[in-house]
Amino acid sequence: MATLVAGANAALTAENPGLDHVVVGMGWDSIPSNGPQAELVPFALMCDASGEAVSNDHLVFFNQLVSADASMTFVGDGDQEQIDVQLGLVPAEITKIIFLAYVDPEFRGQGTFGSVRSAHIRVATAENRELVRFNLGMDHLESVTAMIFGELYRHRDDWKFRALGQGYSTGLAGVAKDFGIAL
Amino acid sequence: MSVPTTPRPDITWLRRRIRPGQAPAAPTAAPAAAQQGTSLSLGHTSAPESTTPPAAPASLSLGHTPAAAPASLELGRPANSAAAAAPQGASLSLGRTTTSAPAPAPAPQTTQAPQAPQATQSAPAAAQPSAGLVLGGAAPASPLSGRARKLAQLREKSQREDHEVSLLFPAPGIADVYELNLTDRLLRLSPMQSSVGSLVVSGSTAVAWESVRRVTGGQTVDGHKAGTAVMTAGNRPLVGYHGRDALITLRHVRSLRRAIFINRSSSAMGVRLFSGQTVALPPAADGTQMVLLVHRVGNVLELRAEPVPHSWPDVQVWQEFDFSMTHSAPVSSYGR
Repeated sequence: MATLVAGANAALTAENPGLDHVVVGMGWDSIPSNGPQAELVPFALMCDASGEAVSNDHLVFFNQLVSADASMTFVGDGDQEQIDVQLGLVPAEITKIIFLAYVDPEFRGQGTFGSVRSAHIRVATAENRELVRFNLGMDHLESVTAMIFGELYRHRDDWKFRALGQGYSTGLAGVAKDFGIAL
Repeated sequence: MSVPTTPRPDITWLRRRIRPGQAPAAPTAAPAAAQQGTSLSLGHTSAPESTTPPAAPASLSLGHTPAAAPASLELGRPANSAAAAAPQGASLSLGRTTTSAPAPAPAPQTTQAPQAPQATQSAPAAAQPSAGLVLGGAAPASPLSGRARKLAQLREKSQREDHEVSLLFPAPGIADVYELNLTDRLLRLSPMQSSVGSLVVSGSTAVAWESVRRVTGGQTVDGHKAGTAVMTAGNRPLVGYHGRDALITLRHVRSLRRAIFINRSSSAMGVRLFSGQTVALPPAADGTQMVLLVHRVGNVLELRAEPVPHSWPDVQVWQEFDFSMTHSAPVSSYGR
């Protein structure tokens, strides 16, 4: 198991021959509250060579559990959110899969990542053998309302994982604008 | 009756699977013996980890016996490796049969002949249909681990969950409809629109909701409540009023079955999404009022305008749409 820092990458299929199925787990720990609190939503989107989401059918989150090509599936709905990726089924046009979480833009007060104490993303095999992990830095996130945790991307014939930890102060709307998602 | 205290000279051999110095069995003997064998196994039989197939025709053994013992009834648990899976001809097993994946090349523990020829011989025998009666948990061997199997089940469940959406007839989206009325009665939101932020309904005077667990409640814009509120993990109600706006918390849309919004005022009712897109419903006219029915189908919300007589009170509207308020059981009934 390797722990990455922001910006670092790790070879997945090159280091693990025969790996065609990974589970990407995202988790966080929020400061508990008795009142209304920020709700984080894990989200994955498939991008083509232009860097934009192929379509809204190529998103996976709690209300769209399977991608259009059935290569990505949202499994689990607890604190530990998991997205199942069958690498062999990912269409060739997909060059990267981005994993992020946004704070739900709730009408009664959205909240930010400021209430999140720790967060991580990890890539594991189907047997839950952890391949790589990235623990995000949680400082100065009071204005952050969406964050890209990491990405799976193609490198020649292989798949690699890159740790990112890139925050957005514009929330899901900013993410949608950057990646061409229709809200 | 006296018990002999002298150790039997052959006890060492009995405890071992294979007689020392015994020549390895001919590779072709195993499948043949397997087909002929009419063995009865009632318990735990620890099959040899080395892949010597037990040649036990018509065997009866009552404990851990050497696999090569003839005419034995076995009461052990057959922990079958690829080779042990071979003798399945007309056998009865009352123990839990733990099947393993096709022989991941077990390390030899006894002085045995090379395993490769035996493995190749046992494979066709394992493929033969068993004529035996197996009363234990003899699930077929699966190449997936427990966790991988669970993941596969979750994936299948996810793929099944929203399949009904693909069966729906085409309907306009919120961008296609300016007003829901008697002509344009219905619109359907996308999965994204149905799940981000809040669905805000302004101009309504009362709302009723029903969760997927059939928990039903209602509220008026003045704050009067009926039935049971549905609270979400974010400590907000699933449906309710915030000021004069009625809201559905779309982060938890999967908990919602349906909701109905009633407008008794003389102004129009409006629906607004996180994206800023809106649709309106006209106020009452000619003795008819429009109520807004929000219904979840799979992962999408359908917004439907339903005409009802303006004279109907809220309770009658609830009855018409089969909203039956639920009530929490009193604390005194706890534990009865």
